[in-house]
Amino acid sequence: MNFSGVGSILPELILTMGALLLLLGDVVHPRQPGKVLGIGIASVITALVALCKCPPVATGVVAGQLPRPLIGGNLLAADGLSWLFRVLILTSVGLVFLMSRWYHPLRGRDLAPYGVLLLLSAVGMLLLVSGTDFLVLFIAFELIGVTSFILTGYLRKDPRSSEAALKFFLIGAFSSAMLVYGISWVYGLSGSTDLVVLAQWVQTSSGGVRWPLSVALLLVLVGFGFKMSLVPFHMWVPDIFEGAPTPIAAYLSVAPKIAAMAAAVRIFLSFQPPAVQMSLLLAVLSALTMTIGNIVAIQQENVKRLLAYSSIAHMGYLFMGVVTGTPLGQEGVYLYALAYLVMNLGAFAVVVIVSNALGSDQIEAYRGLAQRSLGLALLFAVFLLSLGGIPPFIGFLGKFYVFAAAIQSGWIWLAVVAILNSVVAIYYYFRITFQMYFRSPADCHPIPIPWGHRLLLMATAVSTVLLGIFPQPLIASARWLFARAG
Amino acid sequence: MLTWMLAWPLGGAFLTLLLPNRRAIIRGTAMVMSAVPLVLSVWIACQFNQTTEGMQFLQRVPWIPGLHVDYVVGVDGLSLPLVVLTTVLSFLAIIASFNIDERVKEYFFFFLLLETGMLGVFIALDFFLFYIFWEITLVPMYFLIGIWGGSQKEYAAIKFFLYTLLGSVIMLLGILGLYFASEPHTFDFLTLIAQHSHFTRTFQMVIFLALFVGFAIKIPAFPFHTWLPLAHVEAPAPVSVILAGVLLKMGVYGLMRISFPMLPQATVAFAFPLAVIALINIVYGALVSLAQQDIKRMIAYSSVNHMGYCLLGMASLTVTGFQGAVLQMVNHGIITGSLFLLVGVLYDRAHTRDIGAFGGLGAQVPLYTGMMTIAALASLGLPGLAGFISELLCFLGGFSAYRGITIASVSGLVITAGFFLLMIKRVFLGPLNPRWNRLTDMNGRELCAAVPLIVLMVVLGVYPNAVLNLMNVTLTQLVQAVTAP
Repeated sequence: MNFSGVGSILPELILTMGALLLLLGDVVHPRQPGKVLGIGIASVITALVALCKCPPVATGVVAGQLPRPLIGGNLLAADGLSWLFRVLILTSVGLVFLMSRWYHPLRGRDLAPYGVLLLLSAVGMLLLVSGTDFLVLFIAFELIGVTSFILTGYLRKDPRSSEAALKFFLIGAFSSAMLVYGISWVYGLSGSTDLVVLAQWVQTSSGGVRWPLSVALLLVLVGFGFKMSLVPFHMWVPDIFEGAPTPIAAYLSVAPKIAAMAAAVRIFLSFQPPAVQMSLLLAVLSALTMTIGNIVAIQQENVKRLLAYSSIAHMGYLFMGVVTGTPLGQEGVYLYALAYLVMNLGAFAVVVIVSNALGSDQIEAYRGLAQRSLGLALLFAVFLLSLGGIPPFIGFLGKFYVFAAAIQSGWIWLAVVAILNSVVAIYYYFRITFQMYFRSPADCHPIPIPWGHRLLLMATAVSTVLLGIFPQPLIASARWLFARAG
Repeated sequence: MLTWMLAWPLGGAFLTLLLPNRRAIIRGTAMVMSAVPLVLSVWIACQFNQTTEGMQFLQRVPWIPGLHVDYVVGVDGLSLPLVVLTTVLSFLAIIASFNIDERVKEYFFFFLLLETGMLGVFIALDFFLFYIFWEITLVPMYFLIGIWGGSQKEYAAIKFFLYTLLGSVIMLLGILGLYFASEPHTFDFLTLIAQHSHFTRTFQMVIFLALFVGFAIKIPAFPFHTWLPLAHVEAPAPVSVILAGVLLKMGVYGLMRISFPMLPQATVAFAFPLAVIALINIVYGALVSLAQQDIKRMIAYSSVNHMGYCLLGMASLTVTGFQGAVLQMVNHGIITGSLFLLVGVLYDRAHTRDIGAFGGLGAQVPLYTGMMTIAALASLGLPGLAGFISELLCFLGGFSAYRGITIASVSGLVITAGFFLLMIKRVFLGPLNPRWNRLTDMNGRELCAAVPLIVLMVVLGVYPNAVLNLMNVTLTQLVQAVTAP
């Protein structure tokens, strides 16, 4: 067995240990939400430290070239793409732990299994972004899926939560079946599931495999499209977000989607010739995703459903970066993913705080928030403006990058669709600010915010604003990590 | 120095959030925080070298090397008058806002943010920075109109925001196009201007159109003007002052700073269509104003008409025309700003703006009548007051380039005179409408806000060189840059 490079999978190992620790701890000292939070955050921080100790050595994902170094013989890559996205996943898990501790419907429930599932799903996502073998990707997929289904249905007594879990499970199972079917076709055609080997095989293969390969890739796309909530595989999102506990909705809106997007970048670049021919189809998917996500969001009355549709639309913009396939596009995917993580988690944090205080997720409940808690209302406005892509926040940086990538690669029509969609998005984000600022509240007591949520809000708000104004460190690190060798 | 000028309103905005909820303290702080940029901008104007071309007070700091974006600010003859106009109007509008009673803290927070954004637009010399400040002006305006506005405030606010945002994002595509066409890729204005010969004619025309959509919505050029009456009427009076006085200038400034020097071949190609749009603005704007019964709406449409003169001057591509355009921007800011302030004074007392509801107010409120009359006469271009010289220069420039269009545009002057004089007659002259025999004249605060503008109107009417001297060299250079083969 090849044990070299174990240091690079230390984060996954640490999170798994953390999960086991939580399980054992729950047997000894049940119902200690503070301890669950503590162990969860500690695992995440340790994993981040371990990640920083093992920075990627060399190349990023380049079509036809081997991503190095590999661990365990061609199963995982520890390159720039993997490193950057692992940081994002770990950060989102940590922030979601913070969000979940003080979420009212979860009070009184046993948080230890919750924490275990969160950590294990994070392990799945870490594997998904580093995997260079289709089987590893599939296993990661399933790990994320199973843990997500259970987390969605965590509020057992709430029928909507159970309904959401069941829907998620059925749709997830169906799309996994498509994914594995596509993988089996690829294996049948080429004799391998290793992305690196496949990249070389595609270059040298005969013309006869083009069509079956394209069909296989389409099936893989279906599987991934579900996870990335691309249209027309997006129907699960609103119901699941509405039914799941809000921190889980926040988690699902961010982490699995960007993990799947990172894996999509890797797969797309490995299969360069047929994938490039498919890029028109992918561009159309991206455009449809943005448009449908935005248009349906206009009518929503429930903030969680609105944010669900907005997250679908954001995946459309993000996928635009994948479609372009250029280095600028790759950087754009990373920067947009980071921006999206920060602002979406911030927005959901506010939703959690308000739902704790007012017991409702309807937009109506935000009436007059500006007069009750001006600070909270201003922060939510900042997050919504950032989601809409208004400078100087980080959301603008992400959008700027993907638009620039699209224009540079000549996808002008796609860029035009994207900017028109940005304007539409502002319309529904402003329906919330309308309630907050232009209406008077029912009562004027400020909304209570526990310290953990304050910390969360501060972290996300500061990132949204400061990284939007001074993005240079982000851009420099992304570029350095994505840099090609020779 | 320029960055200091930006920093004060920005810092002031956040300082306002931290202050206790005492109105006097908040108002006082806001006034001080906007007085500082006023002083700084006047000082810069006095120190400005009127004989050299090129940017002065230039500051360049590397900001995002990864995107080739620097923090670059500077002023020249084109932007300096607008900067001074912005600081003057913001300061006076803040004084005029002292009668806002509810949610005072938020009001001044948004107002100071708005001032930062406007100043930033006029001094930014890098596209990324320019775009950020351009968008920053939208958000506070949305809140200012939507919270403290009139009866249809929320609709006006969102329509204003979405309309202008649509223009801005189309402009963003144009900006990205310019970025990728430049070698090496850059967002810097001065570098892009120097590289204009590398852009093909077709490319220039496409980018010109993309940028034009964004600017045209702001100017507002027909047919992108429909947001203006709603926003102007529903905004509270001090906000209307800023909207009409400064925000509309951003569009014209953008054309002259960006589109003309960077895309000269496209400018020459599109000059005639621009003149046609100017004609429509002038005549259509004046005719629609004539039909209005609401005084504020009438003044709003007169803004469309006045900006038409700017467009005509610009479209002529002559030095005289450009001088007229920039001077008209300054004059229009002062005149229309004061008109909106004065309408606000009347509305505060009477709670109606319907022309037919008044009559014979001249006897009841003589001071107010005098000021309003002076402002209205300046707006219609009476010689001796500010509007005349700028409109004359615009017509002179336009006549040398487009005889027919200019002749047709003169009718706009006549119609404007018509509706302003009609308004004065129906509101101020004749027998006093007994409904208003308890009306009080202007109080100290309102006088403080309005008198400086009236004084400026007279001063600039008699001595426009104060402003013209600032812009001469820059505009001459600009015309040469555009019309050189």
